[in-house]
Amino acid sequence: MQDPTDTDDLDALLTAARGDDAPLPQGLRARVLADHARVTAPVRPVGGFGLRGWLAGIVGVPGAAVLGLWLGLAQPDLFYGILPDGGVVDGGLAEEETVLLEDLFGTDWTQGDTL
Amino acid sequence: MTDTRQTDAALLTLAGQGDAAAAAALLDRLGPRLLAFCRRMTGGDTAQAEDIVQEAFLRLWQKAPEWDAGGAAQMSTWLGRVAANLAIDARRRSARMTPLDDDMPLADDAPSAVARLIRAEGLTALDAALAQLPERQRQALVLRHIEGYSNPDIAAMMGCGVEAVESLTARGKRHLAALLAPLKPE
Repeated sequence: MQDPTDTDDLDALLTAARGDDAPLPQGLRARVLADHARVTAPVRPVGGFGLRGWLAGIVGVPGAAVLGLWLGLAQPDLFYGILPDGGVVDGGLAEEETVLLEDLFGTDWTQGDTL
Repeated sequence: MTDTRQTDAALLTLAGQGDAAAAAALLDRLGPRLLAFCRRMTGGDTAQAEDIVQEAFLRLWQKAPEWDAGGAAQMSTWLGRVAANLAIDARRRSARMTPLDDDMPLADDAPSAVARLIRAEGLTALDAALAQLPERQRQALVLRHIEGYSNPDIAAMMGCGVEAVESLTARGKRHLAALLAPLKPE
């Protein structure tokens, strides 16, 4: 059986250990602070689609619309030049077109009708 | 105590906003004490103790935005609890150490050396003796008699009953006294 006095001494030793500390090694300190930097780093938009992306959208979409309108009005030759047969249409319906229109509207269409 | 808590909370708030200096200050305030605790919990396994400290602080950084400065939890206690759980989990996973037999016989004159050890190299001897204890005895003993956790808290951490904790700490204390006995000056 243990002596109560000795038990008190052991308790005192354990209590003394309560206030004990150990200097942090530099490597550990650096790792902990690197973790902190990583965790608190500001979140960057994925793929860099930030302000630059929004600006491209705001400027690009209306710009493309204006360019298309300008081509159609001021440079019609350019537009017709990229169409099959030079953009020349006879105003009549081809066979494939009559089939498509029948499928869509259910009305009888005759080849050569005009829209 | 309140000042300490407020200072810690203020530093953590800044650290959570990315302030590296605040993070370093908080680490320097709480880290050394936590490392000493982890070394004891791991039986002197320095590498494992450092890994636990790193992981505990990582969780603190992650918790920074939602830390309740006015809450009941003191930051050092919160860190200690996280570290204790990590140490217990780590030791559960690895069975590398060969503990002493839990029923090791005690030396008759064992505890009488302790008083002198306090004045000499008491803490070093204590750590060496703790490292030789069976793992669960050491963890229970450190948590109860050094860290001051309640038996129900320890039971929750260690995943056992309160009676088991009482048994572990009692046996741990007897073993510790037995291990310190040979250091008694003639």
